[in-house]
Amino acid sequence: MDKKELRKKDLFASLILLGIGIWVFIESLKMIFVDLPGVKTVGWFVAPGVFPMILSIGLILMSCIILAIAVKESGGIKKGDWERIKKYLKSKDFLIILSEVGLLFLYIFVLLGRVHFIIATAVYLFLSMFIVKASAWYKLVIISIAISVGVAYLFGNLFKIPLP
Amino acid sequence: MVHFLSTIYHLLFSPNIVIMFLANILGIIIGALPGLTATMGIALLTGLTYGLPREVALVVLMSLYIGAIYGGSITAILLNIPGTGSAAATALDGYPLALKGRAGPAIGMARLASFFGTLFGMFMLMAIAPQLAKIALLFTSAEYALLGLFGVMISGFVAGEDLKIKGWIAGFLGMLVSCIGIDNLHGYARFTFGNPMLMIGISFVPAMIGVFGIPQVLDNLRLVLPQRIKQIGSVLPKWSEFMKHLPNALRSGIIGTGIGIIPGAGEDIGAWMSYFAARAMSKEKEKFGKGAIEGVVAAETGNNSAIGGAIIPLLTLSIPGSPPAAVLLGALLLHGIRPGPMLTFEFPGFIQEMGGIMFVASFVLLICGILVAKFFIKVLDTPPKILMPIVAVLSVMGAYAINIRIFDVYVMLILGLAYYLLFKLKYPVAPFVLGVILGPMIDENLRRTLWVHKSFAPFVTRPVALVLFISIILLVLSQFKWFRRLFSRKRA
Repeated sequence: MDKKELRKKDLFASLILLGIGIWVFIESLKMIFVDLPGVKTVGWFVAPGVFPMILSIGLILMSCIILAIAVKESGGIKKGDWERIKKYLKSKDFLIILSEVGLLFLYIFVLLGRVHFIIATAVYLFLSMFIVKASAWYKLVIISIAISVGVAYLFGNLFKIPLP
Repeated sequence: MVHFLSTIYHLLFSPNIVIMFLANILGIIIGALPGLTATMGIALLTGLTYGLPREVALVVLMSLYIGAIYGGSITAILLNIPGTGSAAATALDGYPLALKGRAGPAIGMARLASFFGTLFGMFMLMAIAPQLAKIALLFTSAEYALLGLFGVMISGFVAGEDLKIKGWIAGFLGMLVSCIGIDNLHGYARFTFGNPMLMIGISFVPAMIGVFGIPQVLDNLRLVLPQRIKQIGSVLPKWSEFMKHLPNALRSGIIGTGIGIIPGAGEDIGAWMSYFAARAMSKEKEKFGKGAIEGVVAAETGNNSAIGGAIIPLLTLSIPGSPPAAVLLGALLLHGIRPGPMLTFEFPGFIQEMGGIMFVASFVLLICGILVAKFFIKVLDTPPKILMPIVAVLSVMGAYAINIRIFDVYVMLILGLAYYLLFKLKYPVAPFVLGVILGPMIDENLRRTLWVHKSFAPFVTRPVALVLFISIILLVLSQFKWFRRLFSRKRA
């Protein structure tokens, strides 16, 4: 990634970080003037919101600096940039990442805890390897089952950790 | 000295040596597996060794402790997923070395550095335990808060590949994540959105596994062609090679032990500080983060020497220097040993006994490390398309195992995915992790100082605090051109 390209992305990221900083600042303000022991007798500076507030001020300042650098060095957003983004969103690379993210969500949020750990893990492993065509499907089935059983044995039996 | 030598003699010529080998191998495996930490290993084994005689239990726990701190480096080097927090600094240069096909020598060098670090820590424990403990007692809340902040800031400074400020943003984000949950001073719920699971806070292990592991999985899985990295070089590095790094190892040993002595600091910060010092002193600073073996040596010597350091305040003051040492304190109490100022009267020779166990265990580590490393190194021969989903499963189990909580797995995934975007924009991972680890320490000590002194004055009036404060200010100012020009003009 060349510097100009990186700075264009920094531009968006700094705006998001700035938003996070402002939100944390507002939230921490609510935690400064609270009715807690010490806050009234000693002062506002021992309140639970002090540390997040210091961090949010730092984050806001630093995001502004990144934003300024990005504006200066990116050369602005042009029409061609949007075309490149659209092209990337249709690329095979992006689709693989998106599929893997989807599979991780399926594995963690849907399968784990509802289906037996070995089955859930084997399904996730098989599908993840299958979408990137890691090997022949029957080999992937064997690998997925073997790994799932191995992990379950290692953590469940050897280390006595209850499986999810 | 007699106790030290007799412990070594008895260990070498008794069945305990076999137990030591097994415990060390188990420690290395526990350390290498993401999510299973030295703390957890000692905690698990404390229960299992309860029925054993005190001497045998100590052999098991100390061998496991030493093995686990080294073990974290194996997965840090091979997969860029530090098995333990103390190996996060090792990953910075260890993984780039593996990508260059030098995983074997990197693991070998990490083992020699761990061996050296353990021995160094052991000698420090035996020689200057009470004196060093006195220095650690000088640290008050103000120093702890600034030490933590300095750690995060310097981590951002060193790890920032693009702009240094990105490293600091990463550190600040990490500290913000650490604010989630009930705060330690007031018991006030911060950023919990009424969710009871968030009340407990974000554990640093799932956060660490997520930000290190998930970007790796997503980045490597999309490689269209399986990219095998041919590993060259043996896991048995030459001593002459290690001797070239002796000044670095000695410096890291001193830093690691010193940090280990400070209660609560532990192996993680010991490794980071040693790494930063090595980078600052190196003639080839630009190689750091791209596969400098010096970085691996510094981090591994630092974290293993912190073991000896962490045991110093544990035995002399009954204050553990690190989380694993805290669990070890519980184990010692369970076996009827009361650490503290009276230890030398109640159990004369106990410090020497611990030294003897550490001495033999460090040599055992040298042998066990080879056996386990040879097995683990084959992992890199697996194509990334098969390996990466397995890494994801290990990350899930690692995040889950630490608290047996599915919520931690959700945290791991969400933080991992969020950080993937920042990772692509060259925001370094290490300062974020350090921020999550050190955030609670900074927060608590900052407010405690303000509570006690009712002003910010202690941060600039206490000598050690002032040095730390000025260092942080200089670090920030160094990023301004006018400040750099000021110094270059003076030199001219």
